[in-house]
Amino acid sequence: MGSQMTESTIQSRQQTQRPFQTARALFRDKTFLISALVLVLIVLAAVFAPLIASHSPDQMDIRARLTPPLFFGQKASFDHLFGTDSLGRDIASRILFGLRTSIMIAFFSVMIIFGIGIFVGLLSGIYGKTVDTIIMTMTDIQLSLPLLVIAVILLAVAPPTILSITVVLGISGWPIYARATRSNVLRETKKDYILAARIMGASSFWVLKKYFLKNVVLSTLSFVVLEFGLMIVWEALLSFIGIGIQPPNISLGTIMGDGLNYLINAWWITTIPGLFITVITISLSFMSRSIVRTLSV
Amino acid sequence: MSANDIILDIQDLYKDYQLPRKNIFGKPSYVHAVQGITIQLERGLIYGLVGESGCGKTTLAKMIAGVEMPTRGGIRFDAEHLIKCDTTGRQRENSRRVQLILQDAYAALPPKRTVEQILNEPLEIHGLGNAAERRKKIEATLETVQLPLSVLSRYHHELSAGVTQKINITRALLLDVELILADESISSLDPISRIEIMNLFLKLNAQHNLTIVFIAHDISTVQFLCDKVIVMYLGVCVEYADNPEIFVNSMHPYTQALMNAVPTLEKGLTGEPLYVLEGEVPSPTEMLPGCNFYSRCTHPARDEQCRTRKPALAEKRSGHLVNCFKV
Repeated sequence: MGSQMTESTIQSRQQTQRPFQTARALFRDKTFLISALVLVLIVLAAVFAPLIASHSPDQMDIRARLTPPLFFGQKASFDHLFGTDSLGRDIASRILFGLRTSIMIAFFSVMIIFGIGIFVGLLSGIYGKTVDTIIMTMTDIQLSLPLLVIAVILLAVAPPTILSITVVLGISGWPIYARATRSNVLRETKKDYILAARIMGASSFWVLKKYFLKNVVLSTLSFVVLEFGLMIVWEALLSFIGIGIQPPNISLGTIMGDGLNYLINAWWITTIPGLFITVITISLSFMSRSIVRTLSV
Repeated sequence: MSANDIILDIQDLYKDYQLPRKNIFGKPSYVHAVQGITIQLERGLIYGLVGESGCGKTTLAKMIAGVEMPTRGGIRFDAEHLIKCDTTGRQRENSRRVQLILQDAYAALPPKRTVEQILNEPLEIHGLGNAAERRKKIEATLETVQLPLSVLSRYHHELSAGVTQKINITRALLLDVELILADESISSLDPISRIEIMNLFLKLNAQHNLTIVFIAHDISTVQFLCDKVIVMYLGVCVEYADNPEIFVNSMHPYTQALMNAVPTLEKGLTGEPLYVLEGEVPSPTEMLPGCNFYSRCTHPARDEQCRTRKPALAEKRSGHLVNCFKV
């Protein structure tokens, strides 16, 4: 009995007291490790784009226009690994620079989504009553409109720059997370240990800091990862249909949009950036699944 | 009994909970959980608060602990210190004087924390002492409640119910309170832990002059533990007297019925079923015009006055207060 007790004590301490333990368990998961490596490589490539890129992304070469990617035709050459577009610009270099914009927009819009979402959700859950009613009505209104409609309306009003697209994507995603956080908080506040803390004289802020913040952040971590991939897709979609990133800025979406008129003759202009988006989102969703599995066990 | 001896003075206390409206324009309905309680508690005594489930015991305790705001009425602490009903700052101050120990010992402790972390929380909230002083205070308090220091590294879900309840009591004691409200603290324990906790309460009461309000529906523990007993029915206090007196000379028909419902060896030997009050407790959503116990009262002199007018708690014998027209 005694030794059993000590054993279970040690076990539960390992589970709860060391955050690094969780991180280590994550990286022991092969799927997570590989996905993370792929993403790190892509991010590094974007960061060091000026050093890696063989061409300037805007450099035109009319003689080499619509060169297919390597191994896909006689015209293909090592000079243009992923081929060229209708103006003879190197797709590989354009993707490297486009990734920078896409990743940056996705990163900051995810920050905005979760910043607003978690903050507003906590407010709503803790203060309740009027604050809660107002916030929940706002989320209801926004959730009843499709994201695309909101984005089109907002981008019709504000000129589409990198900043405005980040903000539009950011404010269009928060309601779901505000709701999730709120229901998380509401479920917990009904429990006795919160009442006990209040009996001990704790302020709402203390309860928030001590009991909620870590829980809420951890439980939304897997969604942060998923949402990041989703934001890359949304940005590409907006740019693809022409209301997103405007030339001369490049993003994965604008490169795909450039290939729209050449889909039959030059499939690579649209397909290769699309493949990058696919690889990124698949890696992220694998990571998200590993996080859920590791945190819940 | 001088005024200084009174630790808690409750004046005409009411608590209504608003129920969700049926539609936005509907009239809100209320649950009248506590319907006018006036009572004084003396310092250094153990009080028993008895009554059936839903009669407002826990609501009363929460109001005294400051986590529920009374709808009407006032609570005075220490004769001169008035606990106002509306300020949020009060809770912090109040928690150094009164602590409520909740019914479910496990649920009252935060999950995934060691006992040491849990016991540090009240000191942290009030910013008392540095790490070493806190540790010393915690060790001293653990000694008072007779728990070994080894519990500090444990998680509360590994501990027995009795020890968990003791952790809850330790947490309340750490703030050097003068009044402890124990809400059904021993009802879910085995007999041995139960006696242990009761002895602990007696010891705290004797050594630290701690005032304890012991909420229970088990008459026998109240008989063992308490100096004075308050009997509640449907949000009002129906009888209030010293411990043996209230059970030996029960005057209110409800207290008498309650006493009859206590199973004893003699009653068991007769082989007859125990007398049970007939009817149901009226819904607390309506304020009754007369005595709250009217619908179930078996007093032979029950009449029209009982149905239409509210009786008040009055001293019928020395130190024995009863809320009834007919005794």
